[in-house]
Amino acid sequence: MILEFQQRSISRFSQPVKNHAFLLRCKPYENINQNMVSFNAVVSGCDTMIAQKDSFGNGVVFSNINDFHDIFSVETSGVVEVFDNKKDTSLNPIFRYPSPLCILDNEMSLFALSFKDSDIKKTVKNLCDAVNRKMKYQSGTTCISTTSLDAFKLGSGVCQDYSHVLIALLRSLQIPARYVAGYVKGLSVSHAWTEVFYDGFWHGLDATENSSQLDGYIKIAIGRDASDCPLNRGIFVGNVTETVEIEINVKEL
Amino acid sequence: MDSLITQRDSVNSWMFRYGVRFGIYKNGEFKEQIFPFDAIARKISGREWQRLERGLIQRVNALNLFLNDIYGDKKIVKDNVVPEDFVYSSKGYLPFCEGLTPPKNVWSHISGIDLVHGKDDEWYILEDNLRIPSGASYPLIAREITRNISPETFENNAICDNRNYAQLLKNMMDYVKKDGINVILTPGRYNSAYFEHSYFAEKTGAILATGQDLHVEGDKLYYKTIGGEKQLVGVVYRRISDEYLDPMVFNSDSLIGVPNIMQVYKAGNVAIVNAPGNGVADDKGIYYFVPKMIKYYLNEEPILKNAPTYLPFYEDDKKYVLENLRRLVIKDVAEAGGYGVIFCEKLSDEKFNEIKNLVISQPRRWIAQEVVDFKDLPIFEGDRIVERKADLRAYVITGENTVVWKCGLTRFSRNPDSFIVNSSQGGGFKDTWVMDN
Repeated sequence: MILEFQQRSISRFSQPVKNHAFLLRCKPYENINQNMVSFNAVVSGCDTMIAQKDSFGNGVVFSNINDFHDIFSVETSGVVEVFDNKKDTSLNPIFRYPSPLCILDNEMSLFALSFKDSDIKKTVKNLCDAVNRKMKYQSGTTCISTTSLDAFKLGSGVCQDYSHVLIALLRSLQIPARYVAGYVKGLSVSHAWTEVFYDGFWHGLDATENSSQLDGYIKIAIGRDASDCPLNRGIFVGNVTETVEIEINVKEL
Repeated sequence: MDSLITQRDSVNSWMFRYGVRFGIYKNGEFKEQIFPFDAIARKISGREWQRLERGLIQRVNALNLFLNDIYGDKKIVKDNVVPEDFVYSSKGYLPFCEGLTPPKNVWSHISGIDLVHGKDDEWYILEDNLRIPSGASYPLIAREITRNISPETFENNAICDNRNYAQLLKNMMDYVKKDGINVILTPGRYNSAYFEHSYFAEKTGAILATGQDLHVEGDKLYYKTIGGEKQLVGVVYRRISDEYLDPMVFNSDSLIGVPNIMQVYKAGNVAIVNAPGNGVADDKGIYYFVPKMIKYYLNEEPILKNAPTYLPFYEDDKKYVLENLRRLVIKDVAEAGGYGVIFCEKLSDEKFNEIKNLVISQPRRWIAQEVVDFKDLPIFEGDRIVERKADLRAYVITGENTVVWKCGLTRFSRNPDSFIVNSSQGGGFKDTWVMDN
């Protein structure tokens, strides 16, 4: 499947800010399942950016804008080719262990255990289903640093929380799981889902949608949880309020 | 030593004038106190020191190899010498450093190794500090003052000179640095070791900077002078812990770090002393494996012993720990600085059972150790000499070679019943004389 995307995020500051350093994960993730055909990024007020890869293989670009500015926009576009039939078999053991935002307590472990099946594929499906039923999609109840444990207790959250809860439950049953951030056809904001490792390769899974058919999904970044791969981080000098507008458009070619 | 002892009050008043202080947070309040100095130096014979020196160099070399392996090929995990759990669930393990090689392959440039001298005359390693071990300035400045007050003490005793510490630091920084100047990065004057940061900047000729004085442009790090000039930075001896070093990668609330410094580091354009990620090797759980690392990487027998340690993570050890818990010390793997250390002997039955249940339910979280009966050292209390527990922090510097500074920080407990000597827990210190014989 070939997918084209456009992404535009605009931050507006109530007053000009300066010494603005930023780090973006805005490039499509490249692995055996996903090939980047083309990519372009434009950041307002910034002509040179440095591109690097982080230890999870995510593309990062970073730079800084020292002059005063009251708007910060990032516009990206690109084309990726997604291969459903290819298998990503590379397993880093780090995805087996709890991570800063994917933690759990005894109650959660017992919850996970109650969905365990002798067939690992079924266990995974059961858990995805259970998370989807247990959680209620409600924005504003959690924030970017909410842990899986808090989200689970709360019983609500957004896609990030769904993914975190599922990851924590899977790992408690010794099933490796990782967090994916990306864009999805039909969604105008970024999305988060999960990848789980069994039968020797990674399988995509979306707890928010309770689905394992991830057509139209573009992977941008992966990590143990959201704290490993924020799509946009910035720090600047200025005591301001910031409003952010995001628009994403994915279509099949 | 007598002349020194009779003048001990003037030593302390000089220390006060020099501003030899350390700050502690107590009940949410920041307080600076003086770190009480005791005039009776600890003596270590030349012969004993040689053995310590060989053992410390061996240990630090193995720890450096371990760090290189853990963030690289992970052979020691694949060969089942260190279980994966202890690496990946360690709070000090930084995924950011996966696949990264620091300049000149040095991870732990300054290692503070804490030892105690047992009554059986054996030295035992208590813990390794491979992140930002502090405290070397105290014996340095104490020596400076005592030398002024009582020069004859140092003429009449063959005491190894300790004034080369700053030179050791400087040589190490010059060896690992990339193009640019040497900088010591301090969180600022409210840090408990600020005195030391400024002292070392002066002694090594490095620039003392806060996070706001440094900034990243492209993939290089610069120091901005007051006049607005920029100077390229080649090495940062940072006295800021990993989690505050770069708000773009770690704790995003950090205001004391330098945004994107980790990207400069990753691009290989600056050396960071000590390397980020070292926490995975000085974790109290990993401590257990250090003797095994020495055999694994160096194919040598460990010269210095660990205090006898058990990991409840292993079933056999767990059984032993639960059977003997009353006489053991339990340490929380995630805690540092004398916090999270529990002497089970002294616990009420209720508290004891609580700890016991925690060992059963969270075995990975604890290590258990035999209480090492270590030697008391004489200290002055008022006009009386009393015996108190003391440890020794040895400073091991790794640049082109690994060397041990011929001195160290001897800390003692002021409380006669306490085995905990950390300065943050209210102890004092003495000079450590390594004898030249």
